Amino acid sequence: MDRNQVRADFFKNGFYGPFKVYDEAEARDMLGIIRRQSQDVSKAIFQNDCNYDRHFDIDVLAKHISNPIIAEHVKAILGENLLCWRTEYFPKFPGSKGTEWHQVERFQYTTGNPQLQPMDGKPGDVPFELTVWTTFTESDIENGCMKFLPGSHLRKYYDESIVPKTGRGSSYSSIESETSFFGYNFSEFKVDPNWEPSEEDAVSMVMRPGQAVIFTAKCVHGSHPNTTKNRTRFAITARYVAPDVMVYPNQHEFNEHGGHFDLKQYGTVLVSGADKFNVNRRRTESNTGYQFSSQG
Amino acid sequence: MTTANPALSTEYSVTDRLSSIWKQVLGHDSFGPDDSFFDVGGHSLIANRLCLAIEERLGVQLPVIDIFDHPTIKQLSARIQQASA
Repeated sequence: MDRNQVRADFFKNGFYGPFKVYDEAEARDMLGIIRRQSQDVSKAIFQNDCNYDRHFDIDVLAKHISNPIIAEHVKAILGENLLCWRTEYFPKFPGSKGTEWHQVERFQYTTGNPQLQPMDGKPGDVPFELTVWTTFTESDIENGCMKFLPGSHLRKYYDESIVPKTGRGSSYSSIESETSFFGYNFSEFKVDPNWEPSEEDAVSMVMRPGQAVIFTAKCVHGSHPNTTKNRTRFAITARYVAPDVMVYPNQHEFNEHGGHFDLKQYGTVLVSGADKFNVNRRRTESNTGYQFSSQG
Repeated sequence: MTTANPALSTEYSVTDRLSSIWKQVLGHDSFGPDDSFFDVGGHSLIANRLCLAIEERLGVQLPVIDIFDHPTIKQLSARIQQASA
């Protein structure tokens, strides 16, 4: 891995990838395990259908968040000290709509309360969070791969503090939703309601099983629809911040995307370096007894 | 083929009958005997429907977790024959 190239591409475009994390066969095997073990929610930290943070009860995911290839890429951008603050599933079933364009910084859109807050108070120009989106199936234009607007992380096109008409307090099912953003209509957050992202400028991230793309949610992104009839796309994100970013500040529970989240078992996970700030709940062990590992 | 389950004792093989059930549940027939149910559009809600259809048409009751453990037609056919023996 060329750290300088990763940094250069990321700071120019807002994303870097795709890069290989797992062999294709290994990725397919992992997916089978994840699908099977996801059915048992007895040790999950959240009792809802959203499949957030299943790294606390599925060991394959507990290992994934500390994957050294992923960690090296994230460290190249965010520095040596890293907390994993969330994992999420992103299935896209045949016939599903594309995920509409969106841009997020503090993950405030769902409830109105920022879920991420830099300690010094105000987000600056440099992104302070990263998402690593790893696909465990093929991911292409036909079955709903991601797309990005290069360079869009440098400008605010969406305002998360806007109060939307849809989404908050609503029920939602990933399998049955009619909205284009997981129960919300993200176009409601546009700074300029007349602005439309340019599809011509978009970069489609075509990927093989086991590959990942790393991006800041500040880079305007979305996905193609799954227009196939028989090819499910399945990806999992791991989200990272440096330890001087507060996660769920002053929050004990929240509702989003149709689920209720009680944070009593929640914690961030140190995956690299050290946490000298101690402003976040941290967990060193999962609910299965898996000891989370940290690089360096 | 002899079996304790009369629903399975016809010349129409378990594999063929299961393919027909998959087609009904998934809404398409674009899959082969080695494709995972979950790769070709299946998910946990539909897996429940698959189990119900298997019970109704093949007379074999399987827990949903069996679909995850035997996600292809070949594997599921073998599991059904094992369960009905």
